[in-house]
Parts: sequence; C-alpha cells; structure tokens
Amino acid sequence: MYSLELKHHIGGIKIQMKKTKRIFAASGIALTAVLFAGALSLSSARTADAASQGGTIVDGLYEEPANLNPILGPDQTFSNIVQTSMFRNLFYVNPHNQLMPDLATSVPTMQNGGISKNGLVYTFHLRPNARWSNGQPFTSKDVWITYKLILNPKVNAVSTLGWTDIAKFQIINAKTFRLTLKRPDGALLDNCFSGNLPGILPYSVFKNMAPQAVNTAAFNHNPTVSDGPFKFQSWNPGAAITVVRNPYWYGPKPKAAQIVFKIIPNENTLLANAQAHAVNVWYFDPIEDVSQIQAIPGATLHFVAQPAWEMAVLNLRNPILQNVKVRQALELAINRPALVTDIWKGHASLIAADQPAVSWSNNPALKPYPYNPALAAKLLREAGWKMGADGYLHKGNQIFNLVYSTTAGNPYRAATERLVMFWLKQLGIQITIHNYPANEFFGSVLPSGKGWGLGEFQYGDGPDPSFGDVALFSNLGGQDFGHFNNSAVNQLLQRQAGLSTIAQRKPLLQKVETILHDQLPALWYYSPQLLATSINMTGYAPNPWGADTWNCWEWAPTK
Amino acid sequence: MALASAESVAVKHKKIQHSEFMRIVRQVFRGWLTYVAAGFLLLVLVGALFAPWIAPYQLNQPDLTAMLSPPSAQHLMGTDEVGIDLFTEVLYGGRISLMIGFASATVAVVIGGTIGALAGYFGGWVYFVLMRLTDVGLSVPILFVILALTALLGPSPETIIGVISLTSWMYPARITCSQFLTFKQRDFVLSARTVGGRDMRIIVRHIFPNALAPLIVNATLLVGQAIVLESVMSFLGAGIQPPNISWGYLLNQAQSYLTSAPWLSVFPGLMIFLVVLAINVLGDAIRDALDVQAIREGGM
Repeated sequence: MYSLELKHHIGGIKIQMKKTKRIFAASGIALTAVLFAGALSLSSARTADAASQGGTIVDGLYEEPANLNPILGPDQTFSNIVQTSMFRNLFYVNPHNQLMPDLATSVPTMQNGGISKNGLVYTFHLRPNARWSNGQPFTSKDVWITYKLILNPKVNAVSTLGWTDIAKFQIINAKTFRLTLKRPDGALLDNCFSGNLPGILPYSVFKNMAPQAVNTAAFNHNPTVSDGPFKFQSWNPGAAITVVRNPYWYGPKPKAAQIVFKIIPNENTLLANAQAHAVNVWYFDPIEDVSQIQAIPGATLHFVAQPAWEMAVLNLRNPILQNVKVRQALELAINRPALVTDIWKGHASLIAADQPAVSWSNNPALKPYPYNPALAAKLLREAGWKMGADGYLHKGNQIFNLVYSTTAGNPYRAATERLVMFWLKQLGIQITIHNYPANEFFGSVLPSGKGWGLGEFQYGDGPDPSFGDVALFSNLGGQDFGHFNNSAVNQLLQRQAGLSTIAQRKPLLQKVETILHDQLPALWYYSPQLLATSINMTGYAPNPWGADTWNCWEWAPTK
Repeated sequence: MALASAESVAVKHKKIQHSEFMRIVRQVFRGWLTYVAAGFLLLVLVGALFAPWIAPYQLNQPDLTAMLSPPSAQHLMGTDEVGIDLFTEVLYGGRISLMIGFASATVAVVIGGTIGALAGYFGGWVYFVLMRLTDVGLSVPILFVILALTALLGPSPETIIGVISLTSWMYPARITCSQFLTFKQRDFVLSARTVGGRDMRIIVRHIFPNALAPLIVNATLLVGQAIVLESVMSFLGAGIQPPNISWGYLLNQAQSYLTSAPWLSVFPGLMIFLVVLAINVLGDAIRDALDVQAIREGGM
C-alpha cells in the first residue's frame, strides 16, 4: 500500500515513499500495541476473574472409581475420595478421630438425650439450611430412602453393618427422625452415618426407583444431585471427573471453583505429573518415591499415622498352618523391623496384632513378636518338622512349602516377598510366589481360599476399630479369608457390638487383640503411615479416619 | 561293479551335502556384523550356562546395607531394591529368558510350520480347515488366553513357553502356507511327483527347504517377541516369579525405579535389545544364504 505522489524529483519521490512507509509502519506498530494491550488486559481480566472464582485443584487418582453412588459397592478408596467431595453424611470424623456434626445439628449421646438410656433409641436433628444441589432441602426422607435401599437384598450395597440393627425408622418431621434398634449398637453412628461409603441418597432421585434398578442407574455415573461442597459436572471415562462448587452447600463457600480428579493409574506418571506441577494432590504415594517427591519445589509430603495395617493372612485350611507353633515360628522368622526401617524407611511401626497405636482398641500390654530365627527353628522342631537333605523341612513325605500371594505390580510387596522368601529359606521353608492383579486377588483368589497359603495385603479400618476385626477374623463379617473362625473371638465381637460406650467395649476388643496376637490368624507386619502430597495449594490436611477430601472446601491453589 | 558304483554315489552324495553345508556357513559369515552378532550371542549363552560359576554373588541373597546401589566396583551393574547384585540377576535371568525365547519360538515354528505345510501342500478342505483354525487363533485376544491359561496352570517357565507358543504359531503357519502354495506348482515339485515321490518326502525334502528362509526370519522375530511377552506377563502377575529370575521380571520390577535407579531398567533392557538385535542379524544372514542357495540349486 503505497501512496505514490508523482514528483518529478527522484529524491523527492523517494522521500515521499519513505515517509509513507514510516507512517504505515508507525500505524502498524500502534495497532499492534493496541491489540497487545487489549489482549493483555483481557488476559488480566480473565486471570483476575479466575482468581476471584477460585481456580482449579487437580487431584491425581491412581484408580478410576467404579461408580459414584454413595451406597453401592465395591468398597474403593478412590471412589470414596470423589464421593466425599460431593456427598456429606450426618456426621464426619475429623483427623483427631472425633465425630463431628455435619448434616445433623449435633451428635446424639445419652448426655444430650439423643440416645435413650437403654441405648436402643436414637433421635437425629437435621441441619435446617442443608440442601441438595437442586435446591431441595435435605430431609428425613433422604435418610429413609437410603435405609430402605441399603437393606434391600437386590441392591449391591457396599456395607449393611449397623443398618441391620435398625428395627424401626420413624420420621418425626422433615428435619427429625428416630431410629429404634433391635439391640444396642455402640458403633451405629460410625458405621452408618459418618462416611460416604455408604452415604445418603437423594429421595428426589430414588423415591420411585425399583431396587434392582439402583445398581445400574444413570445416577451412578452421573450423580446429578448431591449435598456436599461440590457437585458433579462431568466424567470423561479413563480421563477425569470434574466437580464444581455447589451453590446450595450449607458450609463455607469452597475456595476452589472446581476440582478435577485426573485418572492416572500409573505411579511413574503420577510422579511425572507431580514434578511438572500438573497435579495439586497425590494421595497414597508409594514409599519408594519419597525422596523424589520431597525434591519437588512447592510440594509438601504429609506423613500421617493411620488405622491401617499390612499383614499376611494365613490360610488355616492348609494343615501345615493349623499348628499355632508353626504360625508363631513364621512370625519370629520374618525380620519385620527390617521391613519397617529398610522398605518403609521408618515410616511404619511394628504391630502386636491388627490394631495400631492410633486405634482406641489397641492393647498396649501386647508387644510385637521379636525377630528370633533361633526360637522359630526350635518351634518348628517341636511341631515335628525336620531338615531334609535338600535344605528344606520335611514331615514324613511332606515338604514345608507355602504359596505366598499378593497383588502384582506393587514394589514394596514385591520386595517384601523376596526378603520373606530368603528369611524363611534359612529355616528350611520353601516359598512359592504367585501374585495376581488386585481385582482378581481380592475378588476371587482370597475369597476362594484356594491356591494360597499366605495372602499379603493392607487393611484400612474406619473410625470404629471393631469393623476390621468383624470383617476379617470372625464369622460375622464377610472377609474371613483365612477361615480363622475362632469361637472366643466371635463371642467377644458379638458381645461388644451390643454395648453402647467405648469404655464398655474397649476391654472386650482388647481381649480380641490378645487372641489375635497369640493365635496369629495373620502374620502382623506393620502399620504404615499414610503418604500424601500437596503441591502449590493450601488447605490440604489428610485425614486418617476418612477420605482426604473431607475438608475439600478449604482447598485453594496458590498458583 | 554296479554295487561299488552305488556306494561311491552315496559317499559322493554325502560329500556334496557336506560341502554345500560349509558353503552355506561361509555364506552366512561373509559379513563382519554376523561375526559380532554370533560372538555376542555365544558370550551371552556361555554367561547364562555358567552363571553359577561366573556370578560374583549368590542369587536371591539380599543385602539390606546395599539396597538400590548404583554400579560400582563391588556391584558391576548396581543392586536392586533388596540389595541383590544386578549383574548376578542378569546372568541368571538370561537362562530363563533365552530358554523361554528359543523354546517358545521353536515350538511355535514347529506347530505353525507343520500346519502351514499341510494346508499349503494339500489344499482343498485341509487348507480350509487349517487356515480357518489359524484365523481363529489370530482373532482371540492373546493376553486373555495367556492370563486364563496361566491362572489355570500356574506361572512356571514350562507354562509360559506353552502359552506363548500357543499364541504365536499362527504367523509361521501363514508364512509356511503361502510358501507352499507358491512352490508346489514349481517344476521341481512336479518332477518329483512324476517320478513317484511320496507326499511327505516332497514336503520335507523338496518344498520345505525352499520355504525355510522367511520362516527363519519369523522365528528370529518370535524369539524377541517371546522375551518381551514374558515381560508383559510378569507385569500382570502371570510371569516368572522368584526364585526364578528373567530379564522380563527384572524390567517389570524396575518400573518403579525408572528415575531413582535407572540401572535397574537399563541393563536388563539392554540385554533384551542386544540379544534380539543379534538374533535378527543372524536370522537375516541365514535367510540371505539360504535364498542364494535356493536360487542356485533351483530346489533339490
């Protein structure tokens, strides 16, 4: 675009052309500057707008939830994490293991009259301003529909523990209901109303739904109505679940505008994401990555004592393991202190039975078995095992061989297996390793009772410590994989379930611990600390008694 | 006099065969790369065979004071997550990995070669049935079959060889079949039939040597594939378990230490890479030698 002025003088023409060019160039620069400034201001406006809106927290999930229905199985930690951001219960357990009111106004006790003197009648008062994300009030009917569906045999409920003790459900008014129990249950509030697996369902969605339809309802993958600080926005299978602020949440306005639960089922990728600051939260970090995580700028690695324990359940269907001396020998022959210091780098503690020190039912009089291979060898001789020419123990024609199974692809368990194999070989015990993918291990191998002698896994208990004992080591639960079925333990657990206070239940549960320590239905390895990482954010406080999203309304990105 | 002539013909025939064999061997080793590949493979084989004598440490003997140590004078390739010497594990791992690789490839080629030969030679309904069977084998998801069979039979080296062979014979079958379809129309085959040659003799003595070249190349690829497949099985918990060690098991274990202890993946990975490369180089050389032989002789 030249505007050529016809000049007879060549120099004049050149000067004129040059001038035009300069004008054009200047205009171009000015226009560019205006556009740039505009873009900047727009960007600033967006940034300011985003900042005022709260930003996004990215939470890296190691497993994708199977569904987001707060009453349906399977029992998955990572389902619970996402659900807890969207669904609340009548109470929640804080990091100090204290039951706090949430959608209820207060925790019923005998002192405040919420629990009758005989421990059979519970009265609940619901928060007046509690609402669902569709604006409808949270009422007694929501709890009632939850109760009906959990107990329906056609519904694949994650747990019915405690709910089966309810004899009568009485709605007093929209914000008050009363439960009458068949017998006292000191763990009712913990088992039924303090977490989100199971949680509370919206009556408006489920009131007319056939029970069998609950298992396959669209709600399970598109929970359109929730009552927590965030509400569901989208689920891109295999990629991410997004939740956004719930405007009807009764509590403080969440600081972050949204949480993106990014599904990253690979720990190397999670580590790379953390190092690139592409995630703000990483829950359940692998112990072998601790030093690398600590080197990430802006990252805080949280170590929290938790009510969980790592063990190798013994399959008592195997005649070799039916002699308690053999089980004690196995416990003594494994250098568990080395597992704590060398595999877990000190971020675990030895246990005498299943309940770690953080649990109120822990029996402090019990001490962990020491590492004593000489005593182990003596016990094995007393049990009739003799060393053969092949370097292994024999009893008649039988060689002392056990199959050791755990979840495949778990580095610290793989390391533990190799060490256990070595230590037990020193005593003449032959170990055959056979690992399985996690869903197969827990879904079919352990429950079948076949093909394994020792099954290693970690169990995470809830606020009520009897839950794990009942589930794993009694005929009352459904996970007695090792077929322990000890009559004394069964009776003690049944008795304590009918008592109302911790003071009444504690001695009985401590007796259970003593039996579990002496009889060894499992080899008690250690209680690992919970490892979780937060990066460039505030408000993250992992809770050993619940999902780490228990206070997600406090989460705020700093960058 | 006629008898003496027959004997000298037989002796001459053997001499001819021997000199043909030596010519093929010379043909194979005409390049320096083949010498390097063969030498490397021989080194690995010797190392694997004599591992108990060569290994500086005992296998499966942890040392908790030397966990995840980098390569050093004490530990040439470093140590793993429980302090076991990695060089020792690589030596012993070679035994299992090479055995699985070669055995699986051999069994797959034998099964596939037999099926392909019969299908290609006889044609008709034999071809239809055997090739449809091959198609079925190709359609079934391999990992599903591997996991199911291993779950039933247990993850022993023998099971793994069987499982990998059962899921790998289809490609040799197709290759052999196509070669037989090509060669059975050739003049030398027709001549052999004309003079009364039996089917089995024609298949084994006349057509099969000509079909060998692509099969050998495929077999070399199968060796590497089998070693890698074993590693995948280990990842899914269906592979080799201690006290047996394989390169695949070592690679699987190294996943969690890719950045913190890279030697755990580098050395087993390098072994797999170099062994597969060496086998491929040798396979190419053998194929080239046999192709030249086939062209020169026009079939025997």
